[in-house]
Amino acid sequence: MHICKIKHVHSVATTADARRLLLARPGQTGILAGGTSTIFSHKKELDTLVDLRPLQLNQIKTEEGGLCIGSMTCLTDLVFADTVKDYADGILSRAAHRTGTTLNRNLCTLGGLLVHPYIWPETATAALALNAEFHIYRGTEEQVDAATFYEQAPAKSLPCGDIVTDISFPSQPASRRFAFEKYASTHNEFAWLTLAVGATLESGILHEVVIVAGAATPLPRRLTEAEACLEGQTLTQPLILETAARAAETMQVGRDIRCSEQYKRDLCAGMLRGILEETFSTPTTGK
Amino acid sequence: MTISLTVNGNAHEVELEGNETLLDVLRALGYKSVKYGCGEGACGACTVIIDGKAVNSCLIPAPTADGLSIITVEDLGDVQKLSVLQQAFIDAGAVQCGFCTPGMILSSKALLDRTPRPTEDEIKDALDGNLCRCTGYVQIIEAVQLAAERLQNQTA
Ligand SMILES: Cc1cc2nc3c(=O)[nH]c(=O)nc-3n(C[C@H](O)[C@H](O)[C@H](O)COP(=O)(O)OP(=O)(O)OC[C@H]3O[C@@H](n4cnc5c(N)ncnc54)[C@H](O)[C@@H]3O)c2cc1C
Ligand code: FES
Ligand code: FES
Repeated sequence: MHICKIKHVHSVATTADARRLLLARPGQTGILAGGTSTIFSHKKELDTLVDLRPLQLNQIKTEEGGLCIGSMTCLTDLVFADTVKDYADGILSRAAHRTGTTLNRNLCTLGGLLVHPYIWPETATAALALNAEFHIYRGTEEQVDAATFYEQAPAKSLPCGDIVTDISFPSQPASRRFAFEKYASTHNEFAWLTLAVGATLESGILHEVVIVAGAATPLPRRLTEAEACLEGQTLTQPLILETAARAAETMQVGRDIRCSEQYKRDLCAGMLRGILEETFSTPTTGK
Repeated sequence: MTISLTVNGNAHEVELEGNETLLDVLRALGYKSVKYGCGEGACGACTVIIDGKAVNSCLIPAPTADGLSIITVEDLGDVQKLSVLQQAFIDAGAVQCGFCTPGMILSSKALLDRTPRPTEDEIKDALDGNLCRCTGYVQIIEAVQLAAERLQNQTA
């Protein structure tokens, strides 16, 4: 038995209807996406859910070389869709695959994960590295890039009544490579640290480097000082070590009962070193 | 509130308090193969199939289950006539205490319906949310491989 007692589930025909219902009773009315967090809700006053399932926001579309993914798309569909596997070296698909278990992934939606209030998901780390854009319905449709969205806690970026309809992922040049890694004590555990790295490799020189850390950090964050170490450089072993040390040193670490802050910094250095050696040290083959 | 749902082809109307999960409802309706293990999406004992996908029924708030069509392991076969998957689990020695078995079988069914010839990695992946305290998993993977082979031979 969970805490809140749900008395009404509204099936809505439009996002405007959903917004009207949410705004009519703030706090008492919530969004139903995959529904996997509802039983853990501590909001006793929550008694009504607005079900987004009828809105058909579960399409995966290719758009100008990028992707536009409906917020209600379940993670399993991201894991198996060829278009997602083929996009950006498959890091979004990989991040989705490293989330929870198959049984969880069959329920959890991409939207539900990206805006979930307290556990920083694998997919958010990938979304920030990929420069994703959130399409938000707030009376009119607005687009907010992932960097802006994660500047503050999603609850603040997404006030009551706002609905994420789609998340778009821009086209990536063939010379751009990506990697995603997660560390947890078991395959399915909530992440201790996630890292997503992107860079354009031209004639052996790295450009537009993006290094994003998640889970260890209170919000997914770019490690800009580590990125600066690599920008315009050719990768060498001393540079890899210097960048990994810089990332570990500058990463903002949130509190976690599972391990010490220093452990997470060491983890960051080790994982980033591995990614740079494996993904960015060999000549590009194109996509 | 009242919800209507279909379980293994049988229609049910259920009166709810509002804080039940689908797992609570299924057990109250007599589908006792659906087990309560952790109650928080971690063990897979409560697995059911909805829309061809294996899911944790303990994570589904019952009020949101109105109109759903659910499959539990009772639908696959019974002691008189076991399904190929159920028989394969017995033949491979994949059942000890049996607590995880309904969930394991339903996750395996969802996999084989989608991927009739799964690799070992695909089997492990499909079963990653179903915990077993007894078998050590090796026989369970063999059971799924055996079922896949037998189902292939049936259709050949
Ligand atoms: C056992 C288990 C393991 C898990 N493991 C992981 C893990 O490893 N990594 C991880 O990141 N997560 C994990 N999760 C998932 C996570 O904790 C939440 O359950 C999940 O993010 C909720 O997604 P949902 O689609 O079910 O959304 P819901 O539970 O339906 O919604 C959650 C909240 O998100 C908001 N919301 C959802 N969709 C929208 C939208 N389109 N627009 C605006 N607001 C919206 C609403 O405020 C809603 O209240 C796990 C969950 C479980 C149960
Ligand atoms: S009881 Fe549902 S996953 Fe454990
Ligand atoms: S057979 Fe006992 S838990 Fe799996």
